[in-house]
Amino acid sequence: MLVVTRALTKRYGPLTALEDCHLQIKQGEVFGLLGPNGSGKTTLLRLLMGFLRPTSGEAHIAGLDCYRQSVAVHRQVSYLPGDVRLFRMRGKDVLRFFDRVRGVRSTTGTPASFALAERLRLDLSRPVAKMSTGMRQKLALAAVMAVETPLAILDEPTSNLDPNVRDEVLALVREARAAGRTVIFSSHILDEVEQVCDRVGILRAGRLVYLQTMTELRRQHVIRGRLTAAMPPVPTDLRPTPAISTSNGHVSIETPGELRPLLGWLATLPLDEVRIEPVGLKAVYERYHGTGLS
Amino acid sequence: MNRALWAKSIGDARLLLAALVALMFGFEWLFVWLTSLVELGAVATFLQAWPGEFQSLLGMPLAQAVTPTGRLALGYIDPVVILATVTWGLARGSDAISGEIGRGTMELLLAQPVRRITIVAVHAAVTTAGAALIGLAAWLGTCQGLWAVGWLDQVAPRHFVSAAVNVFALTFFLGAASTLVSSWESVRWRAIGVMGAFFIIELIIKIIARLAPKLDWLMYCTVLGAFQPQILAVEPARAWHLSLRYDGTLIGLGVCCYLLATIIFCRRDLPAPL
Repeated sequence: MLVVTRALTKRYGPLTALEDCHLQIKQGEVFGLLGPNGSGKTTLLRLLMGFLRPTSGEAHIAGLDCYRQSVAVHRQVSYLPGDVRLFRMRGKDVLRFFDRVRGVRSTTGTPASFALAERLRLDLSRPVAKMSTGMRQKLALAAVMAVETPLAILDEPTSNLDPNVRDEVLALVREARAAGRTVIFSSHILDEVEQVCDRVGILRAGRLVYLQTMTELRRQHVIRGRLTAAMPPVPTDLRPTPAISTSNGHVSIETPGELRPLLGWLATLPLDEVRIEPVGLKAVYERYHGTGLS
Repeated sequence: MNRALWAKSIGDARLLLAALVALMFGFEWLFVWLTSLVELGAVATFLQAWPGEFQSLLGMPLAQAVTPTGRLALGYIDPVVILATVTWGLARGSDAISGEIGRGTMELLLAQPVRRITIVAVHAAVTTAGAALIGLAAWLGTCQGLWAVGWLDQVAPRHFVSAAVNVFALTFFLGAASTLVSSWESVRWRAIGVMGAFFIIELIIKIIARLAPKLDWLMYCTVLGAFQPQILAVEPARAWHLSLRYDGTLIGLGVCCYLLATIIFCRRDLPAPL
């Protein structure tokens, strides 16, 4: 496991920002971290970066203690903060600074960060002070994603970006996974997380309340329909056992796993206006955080 | 230490440093020239007309204050010099930690494989080098002025070396004390406010100690009691002994401030940008 947290807790006086977080992320995995503002996402990421001292518990990256061995940890990690602020330099000087501070040397003549900036269609001659928020985000992405560390932590990497560049960023995340890198991808945009992540975790009020692989999630479906007669009992030998709820003559059947074993039974049900949909991340998210999120 | 950090720190400091070095050099040069325009006797008559308490503000006996060296030494306690030292010390010290945190750039900086102690050390080294350049500029300005007005035969430039070192020591202390405040602050202007208030209180204590002979013990209660460049200039025979006492106090306190600042910064949580 590349990232391991055990009972990781951070409190600020009476406020608990993160509580008893147990998490393991393996090499080459893209892990999506979801939760509304104040749910503890950024606190978890900052604890992994060693910016905060844990109140209790521990966090390790590549076997190194995130707080006590933070410099060694930072050699393993490239980090994009949620709120990108950069030095008052020209774009190219910012990239040079990060290359130098990490001791990155180009083998091809053009530094990887410069090539990435070009791919993100960024004008590097412009001073940071004259860049828009989206341009600064692109510049930081170029600096962070060009470094070939085993782990990249991206806190809301696509905020402030136009749709084309968003797609490019998601492509970069896929390329990182293909290269064997691990990515922690924190976002509010569920669609993006569904597209690129292998596994997701949902935080609520500082607690990690949900962990699931996207493959498992994609297998889950919900079948909705209007009952034309009374709903018969579920056969005892049916596996996996579906969750059934009825209301006002309508039924909702949620499959915890593959749909295929249930198809025969479903065909026997007295249903009309049948709709079969994947459960989707949005439905899972709304279970924990209600509605109103994208 | 990381070359990129050095380059960044020097780049951040260069404009302010260039301005202050030019100010110190130009001011001391101008001060010598203006002093040369006023007759020695006229200065003595003018100063003798002051009430005794106000004469004590000069920080040296009147007999020494009216000599060419004494008059030029007053150029090292002029408000312009104080302003330059305070500006450099507070600007650099407050920027060291709370400035980077306030701008939100500390987060990206600390996400690199760089030790927190390295960040403080590089910043402190550049601030100290800048303080030394400011002190050197003051001395070179005096030398240039003496050469320009033709006073090199009356006043020895070496008498002002210890005064310039005292200016450096005060600047070093102010930079270190500001770094200490900066180490627990997240808002740069608050760090500047705390240090500005501290300096004004110290200045008031020093003035009271000078004006009221009964309260002269207050001079031991303020770090500005160790800022006496005019005495160091007019007493060359005791200059190095006094320099050890004054500069030793300021530099010693400054080193303690830097050590404390490093400990606090290395142990504190890094707050998210505001």
